[in-house]
Amino acid sequence: MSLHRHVRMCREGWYYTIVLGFIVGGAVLREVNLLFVLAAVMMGPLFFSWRLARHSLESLRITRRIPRRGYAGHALPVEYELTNERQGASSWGVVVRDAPRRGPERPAEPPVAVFFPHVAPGQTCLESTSWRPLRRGRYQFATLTTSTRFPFGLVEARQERPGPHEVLIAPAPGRLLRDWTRWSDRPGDGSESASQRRGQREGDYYGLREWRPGDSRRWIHWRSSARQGRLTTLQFEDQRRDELVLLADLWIPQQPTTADWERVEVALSFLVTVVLDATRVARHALYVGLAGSSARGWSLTASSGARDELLDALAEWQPGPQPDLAAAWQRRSGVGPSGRLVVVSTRALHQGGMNLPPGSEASRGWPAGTHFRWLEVGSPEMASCFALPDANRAAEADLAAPSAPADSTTRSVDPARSGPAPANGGEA
Amino acid sequence: MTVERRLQIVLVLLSILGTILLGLGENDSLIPLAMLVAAPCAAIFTDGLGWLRLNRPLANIAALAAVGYTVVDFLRNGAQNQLLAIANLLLYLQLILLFQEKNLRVYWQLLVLSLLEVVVAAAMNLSFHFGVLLLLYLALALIALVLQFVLRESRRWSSRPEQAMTELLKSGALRPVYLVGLVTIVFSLAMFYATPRIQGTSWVGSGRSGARSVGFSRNVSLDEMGRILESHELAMRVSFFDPVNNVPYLLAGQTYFRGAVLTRYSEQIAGRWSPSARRDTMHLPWSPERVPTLVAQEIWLEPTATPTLFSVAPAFRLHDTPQDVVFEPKSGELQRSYAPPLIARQRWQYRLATTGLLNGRSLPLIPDQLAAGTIRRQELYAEIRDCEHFDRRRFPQLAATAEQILREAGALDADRIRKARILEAHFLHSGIYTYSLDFRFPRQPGMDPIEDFIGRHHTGHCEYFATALVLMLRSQKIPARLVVGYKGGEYNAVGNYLLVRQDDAHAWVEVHLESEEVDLLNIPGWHYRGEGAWWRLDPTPAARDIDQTTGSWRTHWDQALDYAEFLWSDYVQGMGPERQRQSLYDPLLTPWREQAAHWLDIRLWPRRLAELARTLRFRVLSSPLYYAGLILLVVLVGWLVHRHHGPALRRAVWERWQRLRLAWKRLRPRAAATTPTVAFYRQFEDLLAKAGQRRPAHLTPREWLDQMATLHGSAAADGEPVAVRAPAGSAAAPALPSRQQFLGAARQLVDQFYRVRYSQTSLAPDEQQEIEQALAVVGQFVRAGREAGMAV
Repeated sequence: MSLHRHVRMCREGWYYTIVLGFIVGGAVLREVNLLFVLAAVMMGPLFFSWRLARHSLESLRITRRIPRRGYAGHALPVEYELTNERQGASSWGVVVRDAPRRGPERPAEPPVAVFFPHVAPGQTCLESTSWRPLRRGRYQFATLTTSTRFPFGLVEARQERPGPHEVLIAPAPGRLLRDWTRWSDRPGDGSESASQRRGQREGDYYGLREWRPGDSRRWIHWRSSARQGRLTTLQFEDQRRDELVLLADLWIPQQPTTADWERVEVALSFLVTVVLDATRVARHALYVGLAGSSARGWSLTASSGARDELLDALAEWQPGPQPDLAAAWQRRSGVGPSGRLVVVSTRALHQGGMNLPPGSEASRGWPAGTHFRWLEVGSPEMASCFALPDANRAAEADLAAPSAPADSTTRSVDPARSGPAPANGGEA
Repeated sequence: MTVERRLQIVLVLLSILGTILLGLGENDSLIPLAMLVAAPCAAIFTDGLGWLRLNRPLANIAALAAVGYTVVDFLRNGAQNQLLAIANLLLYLQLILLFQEKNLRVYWQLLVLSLLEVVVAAAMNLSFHFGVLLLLYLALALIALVLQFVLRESRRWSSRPEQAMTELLKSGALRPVYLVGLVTIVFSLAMFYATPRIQGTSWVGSGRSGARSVGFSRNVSLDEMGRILESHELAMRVSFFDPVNNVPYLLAGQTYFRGAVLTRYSEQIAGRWSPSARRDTMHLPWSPERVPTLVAQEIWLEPTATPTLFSVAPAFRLHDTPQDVVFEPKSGELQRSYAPPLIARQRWQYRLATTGLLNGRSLPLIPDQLAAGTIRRQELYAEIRDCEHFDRRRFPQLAATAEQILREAGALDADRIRKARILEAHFLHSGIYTYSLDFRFPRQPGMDPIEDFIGRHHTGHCEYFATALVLMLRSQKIPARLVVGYKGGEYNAVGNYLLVRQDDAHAWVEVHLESEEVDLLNIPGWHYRGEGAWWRLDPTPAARDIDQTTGSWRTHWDQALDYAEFLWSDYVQGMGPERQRQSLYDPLLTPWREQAAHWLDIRLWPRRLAELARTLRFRVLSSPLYYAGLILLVVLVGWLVHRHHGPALRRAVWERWQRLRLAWKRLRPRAAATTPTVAFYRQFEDLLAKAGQRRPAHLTPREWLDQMATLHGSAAADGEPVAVRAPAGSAAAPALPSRQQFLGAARQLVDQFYRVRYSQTSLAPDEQQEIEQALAVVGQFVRAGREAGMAV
């Protein structure tokens, strides 16, 4: 791992140097030894600032831990582990900084940073903080910067080490409103018999997850709850045949405005919200088709890994001027008689140039029994189904959530006992 | 206490210290006093209680007013006071900031303003106290910088700044400050002395107080009235040492430092002495060789308004005596030939030699230089004539008194030496005269001060006594002159020098004696036989000896302080190009230059190489220093390797060691536990080892033998010892030993082993022979077994 080390003068250091230059100039021009003494005395701290700051960063090992996925507007916990491998010297006031970058954009401001007040020789300290990406996309954590201005704050020593890591940020999930819930939960015409559960209990056992308000208390797994110190419930895969086909028509004009881009983001947020809701509650068999600059579809069940794949795709999906809904649909094998078809679109249903599935003039072309709904972003119908997240509420939710600490915390770690990175995390 | 509170306190202390330094530079105590009151008030009422806080607009208006006032002040004053105006502006701004609500910006501004105050103080202050306070300032400033760093970084990066600050301080973030402080001092010294002063003659600076000079004057006036106040100001420091080995020379009595020589008592102005007519000057003569009483004197003369130099007479030139030092042959007075105003403003150092000290005391004679050839006879006679000039009409009372004294002593017709001694004793021991600096008594108007002194009040100081004696001697046709200089001083045991102050100024008399008269004096240690001399007479009573008592701590403290001040002014304040060359470059570079010149001479190389080889062989390799250096080098290399490749090297060494250990174990299993200590028995086991038989560690030799006997048949174990010998004279090969013979030989060896090993007895010669035979049997048996492919 190659390190880039450099030392630079801080603003305070420049002020200090200017005063020093003034004194040296006065000493030389006026031939005053006492000014020379003062200048020499002032040079000492400057020199040792440079030396100590540089020395403080030697033999430091840093590990970054961050989840591989997240949602726009939601905080991600980021952990940094700093180990001082020197034998007899502490490091003070070390700042570890990350500058996640989305594509060619400039790094986000403020940077993701943690502060290690003191790392004793041979000690490992852990600091965690939260990072709140504002937009979806693929974020690169390229360089990990370690810096210190110890002891006087005049000179900053900085080390940059490559720590490549990628985080995919899916669109921000919003809130499904009552209109949507009512519509999606309504059983299909004459299809009640087809929605019988075929597994035991509420479905086949899928896994354990944290208990949330609204979950049945019947399926709380007490042994796991006692072990983990929080309520844990059994999760079952819903075997009902209620199907939801969700097509996204991500259209954008040739010369888009900011409003056009925003409409695309709202559509994607809606998709993410529905997907999360569907996979969390596990009520539907879900098919999602995306049409934008390209077209693709995913069949989702609670147990399938396709959800993460879809979220990754949503993180980077680009709209297009001619979205091919037909292609997104063709990848679907079919919709059951009780299924629902929703097209969320950034344009109106009858707008020209739309490449609908073959024979789908209005809703006639859809399979029999299909409930069809066209949701145009910005329309009153859409507004009655979906609401974007409030930024403040999201922040409050982050603060309240125990798994996503907003504050950074430091704790010492026994190097021998520090375990590997979380399964969904990465290290640098 | 929070970090911020600590920072506030340190900044208050820094502000106070900065203004104290400024006050020292300005010679003004008002500024430090104002800050001494204002800064704690700000700390309590603004930072602590929050009662008094200037808001931003008000503070800006106040700052603008301060700047405006300063600009007016700046334009109105001269260059020196312009600096004062800037200093005052710094103070005003600092006061305004102190009463503002603090944030990181204000803290930093306070620190910078305080630093600028010190800069201005450094430009104005030349004293030693500045250096001491600067060290204190350095410590406080470093602490302030660290506290600011802690405050700023914690607030900027940490989500819990208070906790981060506490952790930083508790973990010893201030600890490096002490180290940095100490190393900074060393670093500063190195920087200060190593940086070349390439221009100028002095790096003293102007200072607020301007040029200060000692109060010596070449003119003596006896017409003062009132009380004369003695000045305790420093005149010079003098150290004496052996010119050969630089060992300090200790003084035992009072020393006379000759200064101006005055010959003419003014005829126009009563009581006024002046030098004789214009005198030529010349370079000092070189110091005489092989004179045991030769003593070197180094003098640091404080700034003076006259070119007169002081020394113990007679003075001679040394190789490092400045060229500026000249002397007048007629008077023997030392002078500085060139004294530009800039130089005269600072202390001046010069080295001379003298033969005027014997056993720590000043000799009373100074050669008149006639024999040395530095003065011509007519010049000396002219000087003597001047020294005989006496107008009886001006000093009737004095002349009559002199005659009366001599008459009473029966010495009217005595020689000059006796007359001079009687007259000197009159002033010293008659009890008529009183030494005093108080002239608050009525003087006779129109009367010469000396006539008044002799005839009426009999009260005066050294100049009165010396003048009276000179004139009395002249009334008796004895050539005499007045000498003004310093006498005595205070010995500083810490710095080994004599501290001469203004109140040590003195006047005495010199009488010229011919060579015959000098011989009559018979002064021990006098080396100038056959030469005329000037004889010193000191008629002033109440002389005191040099105070060399160093008992009290106060004396120690004063002496140490004076020495520190002396070093400060000499090695810090006065570090100009010349001083730097003398103190630093010459001592460091001269040996190298000489060595370089020596080594670059190719003609010397063969001889040098031979010397080097001899040195290496006989001196270096046998010297403990060589080995100490070698060990040091090894340790240094080890440390460097450890520092840069420590963990990897340790791992590699450990792995190698483990590998070697395993290999050793494989080669010699349990070797340490079973190695026998008796040679023949070891040979026995080695023989058996060749046949694949090794004694297990848990068996003793006897148990092992029993085990072997069991294997080979129990009966055979009892086999009697046998010797397999070839018949005498037989050339046939000896018969191969049987298994029983082998076991018998083995038992014999084991028994002898126990006997030798545990009873500490030695083997008799025949026993040794038997053992050898037994070993031969074992060897043959083993060989036979190996050849036959059988196990033993």
